[in-house]
Amino acid sequence: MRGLLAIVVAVSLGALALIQVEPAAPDGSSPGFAVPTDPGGAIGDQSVWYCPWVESGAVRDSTYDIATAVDVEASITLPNSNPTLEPDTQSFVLRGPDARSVETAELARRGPTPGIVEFDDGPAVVSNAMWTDELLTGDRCVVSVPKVWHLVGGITAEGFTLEMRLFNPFPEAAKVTVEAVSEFGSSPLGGFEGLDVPGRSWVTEDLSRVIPFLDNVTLTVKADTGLVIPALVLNNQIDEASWNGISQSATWNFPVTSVPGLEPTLVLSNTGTLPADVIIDVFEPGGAMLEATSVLVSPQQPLRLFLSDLAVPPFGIRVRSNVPVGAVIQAGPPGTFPRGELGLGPDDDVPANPGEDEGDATEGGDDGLPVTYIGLASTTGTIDPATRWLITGIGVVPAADSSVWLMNASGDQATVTLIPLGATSAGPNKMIVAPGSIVEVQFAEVSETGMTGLIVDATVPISAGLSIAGSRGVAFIAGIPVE
Amino acid sequence: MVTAILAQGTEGLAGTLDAIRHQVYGSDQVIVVGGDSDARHFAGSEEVEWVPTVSGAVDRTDATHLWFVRSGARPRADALGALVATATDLDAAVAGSKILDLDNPDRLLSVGFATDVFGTAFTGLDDDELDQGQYDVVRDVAAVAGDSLFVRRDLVKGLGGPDRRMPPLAAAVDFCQRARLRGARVIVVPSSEVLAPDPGRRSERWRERGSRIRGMAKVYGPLTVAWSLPVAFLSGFAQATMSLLLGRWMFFDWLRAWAWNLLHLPDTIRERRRARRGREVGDEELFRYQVGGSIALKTTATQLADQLRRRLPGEDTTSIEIISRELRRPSFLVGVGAILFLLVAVRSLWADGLPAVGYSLPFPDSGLAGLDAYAGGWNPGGFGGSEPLLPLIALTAIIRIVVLNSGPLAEYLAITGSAVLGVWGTVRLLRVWGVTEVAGTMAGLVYVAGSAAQGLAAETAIGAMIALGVVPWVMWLSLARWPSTSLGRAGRVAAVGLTTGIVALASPLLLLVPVVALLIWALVNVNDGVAWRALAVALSGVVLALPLLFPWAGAADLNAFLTEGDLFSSTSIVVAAAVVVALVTVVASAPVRLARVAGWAGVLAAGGALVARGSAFGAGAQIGHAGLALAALGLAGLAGAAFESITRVETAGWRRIAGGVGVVAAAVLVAASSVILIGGRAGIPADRFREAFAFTQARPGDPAASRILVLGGPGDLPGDERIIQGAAYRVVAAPMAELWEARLDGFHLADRDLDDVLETIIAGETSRAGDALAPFGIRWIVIMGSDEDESYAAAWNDRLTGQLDIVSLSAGLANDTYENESLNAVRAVTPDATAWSRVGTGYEGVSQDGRLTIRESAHPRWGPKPWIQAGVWNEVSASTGVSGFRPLESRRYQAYSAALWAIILAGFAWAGRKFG
Repeated sequence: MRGLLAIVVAVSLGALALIQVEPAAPDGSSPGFAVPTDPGGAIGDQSVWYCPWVESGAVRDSTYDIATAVDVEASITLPNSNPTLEPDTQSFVLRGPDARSVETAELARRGPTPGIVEFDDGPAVVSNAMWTDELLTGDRCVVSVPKVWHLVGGITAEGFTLEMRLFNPFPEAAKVTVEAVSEFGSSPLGGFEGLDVPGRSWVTEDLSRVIPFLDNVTLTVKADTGLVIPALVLNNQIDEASWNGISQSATWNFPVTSVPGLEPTLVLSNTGTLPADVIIDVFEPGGAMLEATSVLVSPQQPLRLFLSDLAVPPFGIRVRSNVPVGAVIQAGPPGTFPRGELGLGPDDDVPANPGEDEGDATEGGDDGLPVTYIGLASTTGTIDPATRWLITGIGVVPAADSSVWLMNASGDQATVTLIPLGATSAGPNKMIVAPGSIVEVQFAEVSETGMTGLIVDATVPISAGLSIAGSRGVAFIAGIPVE
Repeated sequence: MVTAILAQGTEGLAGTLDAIRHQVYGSDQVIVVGGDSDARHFAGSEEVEWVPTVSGAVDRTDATHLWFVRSGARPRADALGALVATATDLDAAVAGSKILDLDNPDRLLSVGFATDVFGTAFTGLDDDELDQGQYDVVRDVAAVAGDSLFVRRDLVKGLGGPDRRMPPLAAAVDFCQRARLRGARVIVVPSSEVLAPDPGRRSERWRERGSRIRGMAKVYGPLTVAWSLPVAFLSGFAQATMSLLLGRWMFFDWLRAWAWNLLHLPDTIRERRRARRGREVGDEELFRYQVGGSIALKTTATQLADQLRRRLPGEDTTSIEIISRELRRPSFLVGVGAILFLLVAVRSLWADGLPAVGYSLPFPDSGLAGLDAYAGGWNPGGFGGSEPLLPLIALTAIIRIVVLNSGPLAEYLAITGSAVLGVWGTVRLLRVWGVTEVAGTMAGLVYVAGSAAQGLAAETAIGAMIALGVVPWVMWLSLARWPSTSLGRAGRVAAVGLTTGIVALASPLLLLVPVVALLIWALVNVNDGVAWRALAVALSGVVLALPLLFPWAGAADLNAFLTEGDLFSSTSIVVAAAVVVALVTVVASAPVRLARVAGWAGVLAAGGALVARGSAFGAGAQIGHAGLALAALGLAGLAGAAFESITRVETAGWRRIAGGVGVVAAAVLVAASSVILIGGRAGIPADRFREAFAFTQARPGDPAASRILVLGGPGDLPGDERIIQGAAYRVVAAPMAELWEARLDGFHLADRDLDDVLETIIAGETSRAGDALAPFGIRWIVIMGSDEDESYAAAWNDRLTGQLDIVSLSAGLANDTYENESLNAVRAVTPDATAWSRVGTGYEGVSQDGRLTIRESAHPRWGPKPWIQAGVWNEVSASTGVSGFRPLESRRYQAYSAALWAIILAGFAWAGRKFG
């Protein structure tokens, strides 16, 4: 009897044990890490900016142009290509809002000097300008470091030199794979699989020799291990243009596309699998031309649009697409860029080649003729309009004209306040930017104004950018939104 | 010539005196030395002189030689004459006689000795070897028996006579060694025959063993002492372990011998000075008369081999009948098989110690430091704190001290010893219930290696694994025959209390396991007074054991202890089915007693399994461990009852068939136990952290000066872990996390700060994680990957790859690993950036006028003073070059009291067994 009772008790307990269900893990089975904010612009906290294409030597001068809205401690670090040598560093405090242009030569004058700028607070931003007697280039630096970058707008056709710099500011060595697509589809890049980029160093590759004779090439840089910041540098023996890698987006805003004398083009690249239906909105000083044109960008088939076919510069544009695409603006003297078979076609309302109507445009304006420039410029766009922008690098290049371009793509009038930054006593300046229009605000050299940066506050979201143009050449520098 | 009779009482004294008086070579004087007042009265009545000591005898005479004869010996009439003649001819300072058995004068007891380096005498004679004149050659020997010792008087005076603290044999060997050290010649004179009582195995007593150690310490040079004493220690341990197989318990003898020497160390040092003063030869001269190796070990091994040989069937006994008879009897063979099984199951632990995985971490580097930390010292888990360490730390520290601080050996012994004890204890326990040795041994294997024990190992519950080995002993002591005397009963209860205390020290909650098991046994045998008495004894043991848990029990958060962690033991359906089948068949077919054992075991196994899945209703891991221990007992009981029932003659007819099915089910339980043979780690998962952290020792600088931040998913980290956004992290000491770090102290300010820093890193708000982590002493970051889920490692890597001041070291390493480039990523640092080294739970460095920042959770007991709180850390004076945590006095006193209580319990247990 006891035995039977023991069996009953044991089996009951055992059954009870077997039917117990294991409690679920309270936090699920994967980390709940929030996706880090991909700033893209200045944030109200500490930040690190990476500037890949900077050189300072016997021929080239360059500046690290900093602007901040708050008090910050800034630190510029220029890694040395020889890893056994310590990097060059400079730290200083800016009482915000303020701006400062630091000549790279103050830290080092040894040729390539890509750098890192750290801020202990924000918003604070950095851009670069670089020039010789015969060229001028520059771009905003980057603050987010994705694993995959897109470099749009490469040209290796005759007369162009295209270089790619891969800057690895981190201690860990990176291994990257670079793929190229051109007007001919995918172009193999021998030796660019598992390319090593040592930590705190950089690699510069001359793509003109690797993939020559391409009119339009887009590069995709994927970091297998580690991280890199890539930049493309295009030289047409007249001037130099440089721009950093971008991610892909369904919208792009370009407040600056051209300066007098240059023909603006838009390069689009679709590395996805679906065709991109792209709409271009044009914003002129006098008003908007919404859906000025639309094009289909096939996958793996980059496309260059000659924007002067749409309107007479100056104007800003907005790019809208049904799928994420990469886009950059490139401008050069008419005839600079190869016209492929995929032009927009002549429009009855638009001169076939507006630049040609200017006749023999000349530099300078002392003789009363309109000022025109000869050069090569390229810039990345901004994804979203914002109500606050930090512009830096204004007037830092000697004997060059700086213009801030404001584009209001909204349907509302924007009241814009421009707050000068730097060693200037000038006060804020207000202006109106009409709905669907652009406004150019010109600034003199820093030696005259003392200002190198600008805070742009607007009542409605707008886009802002900077152009620097002179006898050396032309550079477009994207503005940086404050998030 | 003076003859001195060394008296021990009056027994045999008259016969010895009579034999001396009949010597052909007469003595000028006969003196009785030592003995009690009876010996003195006897000397008076026989009109011979009496002196209390040998030195007294030496002083009383001017004779050139002395002849020492032990009382009870009967020298033949020409014994002295032969000694005098030969010693004089050969110029020997010490001469001994051939010793024959007093009860059988043809039997040889000794013709001089050789010794080994440990002072153990080696006669070279077989047992019962007869004297046929085969050794009748005068020769130099290492020592001669103390029953008849002819010595030059000046030598005796110089040496101070035999060592009075030593028993006869050891004293004789010691005297001869000291004499030889002075250049004296020691010979045996076989023509001098002395009859003496057979000393039997007295040389194995602890006093003899202790005296041999004392003799080594006295005569050998420093170099020889330096290696021979440690080897003697280990050799003694090995002999004690091997003797277990011969059914002899020698551990206490071994421990007492060394304890006795420690107690008399000052006197030994004095005697050593005296013995070595005026020495004329070195140790080499002593080695000339010694045999290689350890005689004691060889003897034990020979006895083991003999026993094994006796157990093996002979050439004519290959029949099933003989094998069957072997299986029906207590089987040495099965015991050997079980030991081999266990040795194979733990083979990897021998070289490496415990695998570092989960809560299985190496024992603390220093046993003394472990005890210090437990007894009110600093809890080094995470950034440290003053929460009490688990008693397991004290237990492992003691084990480590016993094995001379050898970490892997201590870990091996803890796990292996527990397993051996578990098998042995199960055999003893089940024997109480009529289960014989073969079945008991199989049950023991199921107990220590079966599914439930594997569950404990998989949980890396080291403490519970150690405790498991002692649980059956608690039950056996509770159930064993009740002593008839009060002292015996008190001793029995004390023994139960002590063993329960050992269980509790290893795993506190397991102290209830014997009580619960015995309660169920009493319920199954509700009319059996013995069962209820055993329950009462076990309960008394628990009460007596509780004080041993202090200071931990007094300061720990017991609620948290019982509810923290979760354990949901998986149960194999095959094993579950085997349990049911074994239970039903044995209950149905076995004799009543065995059926009740099976019923008890079935309830225990099922109930234990239910408790082991207790996280389903909120129970913590510790409760789960207790459940697994109960289940292990249940599985063992079932297996034992099943195997035993089939051997019973009562099990006939259909019962035999049912019993056979039960045996098959029990065999499944045994077969399931063999899983732990894989890997050779006693079922503990493979090492993860040793390999992961080993790189720190190859990095420049002192790895122990810094910490490692370990990241991963829940359950991937060593010991306790903290959770942040679903992922896990914790800090451990470099170069290797140790057992005392397994449990994290409370969530202190430093933990909060680290949590904030990690939030910043996760949010991508910093690019200088190294700078942020350096103030925590974190020099390395190791991400523990998981084969099952790489998402955690990928997420952590994603956050660390873009940092500017941490560099990847992952090339060639199994885990993603980063090194902090920031300066001062150390645990203790002075303002001039000098790092101090971690020693135990404290720090040491160069003393200087200034301050030292100790990156341990702020606590005012860090010193030396003045102490101030520097943020979340401590700042103390660097003037002494040493910094540490001043122990909490109350906890230290509690620890002392617990130790004293353990000694009292041990004393009562010993006295009860010896005198009760």
